[in-house]
Amino acid sequence: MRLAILTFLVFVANVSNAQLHSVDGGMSAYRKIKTIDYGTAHTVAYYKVWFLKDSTLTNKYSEAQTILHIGDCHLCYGDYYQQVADSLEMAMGQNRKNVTAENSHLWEQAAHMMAFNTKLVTDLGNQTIRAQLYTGLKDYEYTAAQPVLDWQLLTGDSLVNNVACKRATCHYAGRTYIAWYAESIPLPYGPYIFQGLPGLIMDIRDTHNNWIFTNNGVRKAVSTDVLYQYKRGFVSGDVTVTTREKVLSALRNETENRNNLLLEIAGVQVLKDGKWVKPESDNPRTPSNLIELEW
Amino acid sequence: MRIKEYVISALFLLACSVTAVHAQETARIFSGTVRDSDGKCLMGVVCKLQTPGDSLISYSLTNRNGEYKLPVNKDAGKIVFSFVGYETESRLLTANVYDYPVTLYQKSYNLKEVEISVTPINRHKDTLNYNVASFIQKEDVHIDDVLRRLPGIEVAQNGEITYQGKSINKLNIEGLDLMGDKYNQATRNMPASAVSQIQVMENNQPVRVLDGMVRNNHATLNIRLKKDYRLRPFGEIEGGMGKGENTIWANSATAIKVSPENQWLITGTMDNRGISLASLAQDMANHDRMYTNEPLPAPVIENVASQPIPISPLYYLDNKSYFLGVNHLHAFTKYSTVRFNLLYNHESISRNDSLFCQYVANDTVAISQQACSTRHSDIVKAQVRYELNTSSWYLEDIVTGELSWRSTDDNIVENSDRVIQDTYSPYSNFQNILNGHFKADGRIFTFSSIIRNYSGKERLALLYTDEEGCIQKVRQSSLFMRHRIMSTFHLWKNTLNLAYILEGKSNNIRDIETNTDNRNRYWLHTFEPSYMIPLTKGELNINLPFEYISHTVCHKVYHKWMFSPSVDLDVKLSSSLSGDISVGYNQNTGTTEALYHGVLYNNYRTFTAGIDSLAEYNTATANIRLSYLNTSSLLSMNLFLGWFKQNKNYLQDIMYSDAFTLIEPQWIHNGHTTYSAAYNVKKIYRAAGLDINYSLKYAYNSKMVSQNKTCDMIRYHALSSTLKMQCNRLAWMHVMTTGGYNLHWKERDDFSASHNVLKDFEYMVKLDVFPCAKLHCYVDYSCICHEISNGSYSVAKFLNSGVQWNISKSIKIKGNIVNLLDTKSYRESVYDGSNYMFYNVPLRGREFMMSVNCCF
Repeated sequence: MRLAILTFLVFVANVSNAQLHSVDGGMSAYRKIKTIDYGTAHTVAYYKVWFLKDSTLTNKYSEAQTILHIGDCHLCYGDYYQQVADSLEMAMGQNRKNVTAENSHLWEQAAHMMAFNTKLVTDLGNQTIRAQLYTGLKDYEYTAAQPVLDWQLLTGDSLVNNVACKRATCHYAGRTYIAWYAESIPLPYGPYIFQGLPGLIMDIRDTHNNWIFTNNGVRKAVSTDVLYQYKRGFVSGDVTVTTREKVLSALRNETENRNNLLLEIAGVQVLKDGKWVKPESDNPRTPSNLIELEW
Repeated sequence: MRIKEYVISALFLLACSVTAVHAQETARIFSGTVRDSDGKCLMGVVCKLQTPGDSLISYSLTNRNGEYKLPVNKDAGKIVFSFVGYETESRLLTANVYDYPVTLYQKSYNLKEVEISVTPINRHKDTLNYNVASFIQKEDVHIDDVLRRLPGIEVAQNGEITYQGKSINKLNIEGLDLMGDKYNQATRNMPASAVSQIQVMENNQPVRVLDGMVRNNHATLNIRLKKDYRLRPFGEIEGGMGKGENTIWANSATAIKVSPENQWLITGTMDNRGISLASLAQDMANHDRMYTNEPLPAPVIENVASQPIPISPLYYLDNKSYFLGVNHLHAFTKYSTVRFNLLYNHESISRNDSLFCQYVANDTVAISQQACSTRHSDIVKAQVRYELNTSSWYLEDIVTGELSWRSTDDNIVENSDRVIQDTYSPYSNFQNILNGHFKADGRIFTFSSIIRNYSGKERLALLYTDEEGCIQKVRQSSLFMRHRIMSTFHLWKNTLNLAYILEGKSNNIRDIETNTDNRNRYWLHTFEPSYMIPLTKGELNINLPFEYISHTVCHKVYHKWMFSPSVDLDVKLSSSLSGDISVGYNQNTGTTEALYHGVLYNNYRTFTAGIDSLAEYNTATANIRLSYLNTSSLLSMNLFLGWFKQNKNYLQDIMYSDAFTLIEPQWIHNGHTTYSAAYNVKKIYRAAGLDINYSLKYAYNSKMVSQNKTCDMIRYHALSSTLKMQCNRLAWMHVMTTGGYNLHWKERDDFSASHNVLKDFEYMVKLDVFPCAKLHCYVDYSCICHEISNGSYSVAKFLNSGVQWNISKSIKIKGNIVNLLDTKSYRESVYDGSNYMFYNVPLRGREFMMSVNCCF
């Protein structure tokens, strides 16, 4: 029976995934992405991210390609392919002429490649971050103070992406990180919430290599490099706005308890003694390995 | 008393003032506001407090109001302000001044350091990912061309791949082993443009049941395709024709389809430009097959005057080569696959070599030989492999069938005597290999088995001008089997492997003319304990195999106990540096030689008396290998130091005369010692677009030689150094240069009173020009200088050029001219042990070819 339920859940998950990822719901009804704009960027940096979904499976890395837009007053960090999909979706939503097979194919490819489900905007003036994230089940949003990182500059030189870098370390949310920053690129920023070094962060990873961010490109921005977030959440259009602590707790809970929560969301019933009843929510918890281990 | 009070008061005041000054210094800060030229406050400016010598003391960033604060430090000499898009400013510090406002002026900036690119190499645990886009150059066609550029990876001429000095254990395509040990078919035919990544899985244990329990210190390569190339067939077709002395042609077609359930690779090539395709039919070295590997019986008949020529066969080899390979893999499940590999290769070679040999002894024999030879060889090989690779069971069965037939037709003039030699040698070989591993009670059980039946005939016919011809017909048959079982035990918290190997071979060499059989057989029992001690940075392996052999050679039975201990230390000294030290002593008997009683022809002038007693070998070896690979600086180095000393109980005594050469065993103990060293370094300077590859090799040999009743130790040395540089900085022009220097010398002995030093050097320059996106022109020039005798050099120069026009993404037209200078002959001289050889090889001359290439 458990197998049947899981099979059903996989089907539900795939269907919901397909709904999320369908450009054309069969009615040319494109998702109208409404954005909050934060101006244009002057510099763009790219980071490849490798992360372990389960910290015990140390050779099963997941990959994501992310992008950091650096503006005068804000930073915007998120999944590169999410942005590609957004731009295609917005273009196709604006004009039906843009709905070509090639664009649809590109969109499908980009949607398939999304892997980093958090989009952060940092207000450099107020030192606050506004984060939008999708847990796989729900959209959440929170605003919090930019974490203060206790950077210690260390000795050590290396080349990352052919740029000379120096070493530094800090602690954040239960992990210790080693960062390599480029003094030759005097931008005190980096991926995710990491910033505050006297140069662009080129590589940062925790000491157990659970989360690895490695720069794989820097360029000057062009006029289309806009910093934005979503007015109505990351994916579903129905966003829960709450505190950072609650969002991170929800993210951990929904990651670890996804199968049981899906039972509830999908309203699954099983036939037991001739009656349709809700099945026991006793699927084993799956491991989580968030960037934040404590909050 | 009053004075004392004054002093105390003064000291107190002094102490207070010092404390106050100190407190004032630590409390003081350097501060200021950073603005742009319009007076606008700049946020996020990096403000660094530095010593006069530019050492960083502390730093801060400006806030939204452009304000910064830096604690005062007595060593500080200046504050440096930097921000992308603005000129960097610095302010020298002045005593008692703490406020340093700054205006930054905009400048056009260029982030020249970093291009939007994928990281060339990244590492996840034991997996290295080489991103092909970071290494591929415009002139690269197949993935083999890119593999040669990767740091840490070396590709031999036959296509065999080594990673950090060790052979790889397999090459997968999208995680599946389609090609087996003939992976050079894939690397030489797969378009480089189809590949996104080369993954190197270090210490990869491909057997899932052994994963985490048995360490494998060889790497697996995995080719990852670009998305566009998955699921759809791709490949290329090329056809070309040209003219030299004869019509030349080169046609090939390759089709590849890779999907999760089915993989296909079909390739066919025909070529008569001097390119031999025989290496595509060879198995590449695979350490994992050490227990199921056994060489085929060596043929009795040898070719005449077939010296290896150290120049590209494009210039001298008059041949016709055909190759067809069909490879299919079907995955029933993720862990269960069946694979079919079929190949056919035909080689037809014509040579017209002149050879001069000096067989040095008390009475030196000089032979001048002119051989006009035609050789044909055909081979058909079929293999079916089934693999079940689950986490609890591993089963692999490989059935291989091979048919081959070779023939030669030699017209030889030797010291003015003429002889015609014809040979014909068909053979067949069928073998089954079974491997299995399973886990029970936390223990690993392993079995492997090979059974092989070989049957071959060799016919030699000779026709002399002044006497009657003769004929020799020999039939060789061999039945071989080796079965091994092994289990793991835990002893003192380490792993003890206990294995038993039963090996048997039955060989017969039958002289068909005289109806004489030369049967020999043996049974070899091996008890093989090996103890593995995991170390913090590696592993120590101690092997203590005991062997007992019962060997029947020419109706005499020999029994012998043998012991072959060895120690192998495999260490990972750092993430970049790994090493391997092995020391061993091996006792062995001649189980691979052709054993027979009497004398057999090898060719028209060479006879060998068979080994008709038990040959014994005692070998001591010591090897050190160090490998360095830094993936961020793209630097790789390998260093190998080796020592080998073998004592055996017989010596091949060679009798050279004007009419014949007779080789017969002398049952005396003798030794052979070798020292060898090899070093190579590969460095890629990406910013400068420069690749450098340097290698240095040295070998020293000392061995007993007996010829024409003179017997002495000969000692000879060889030193070789090669430097290759490629410059790809300019998009429109790439330059490659290669230079090499070789030195051979021999110490004084009973065969020669001089050192016989011979030097040779060569260089090559290649220029690739891309005047526009669709055009590729190249020209290369090479010069090879070989010392024929002391101070006398033979010089061969070659100039080639070509052009490629990419009409579209899928269609190319190519034209090339080989040997533009029309060099007609090549001369070379070598010392082979105590003997000197000089040969002259005619070259193919100038040739022109046009071809069309179509990719799909």
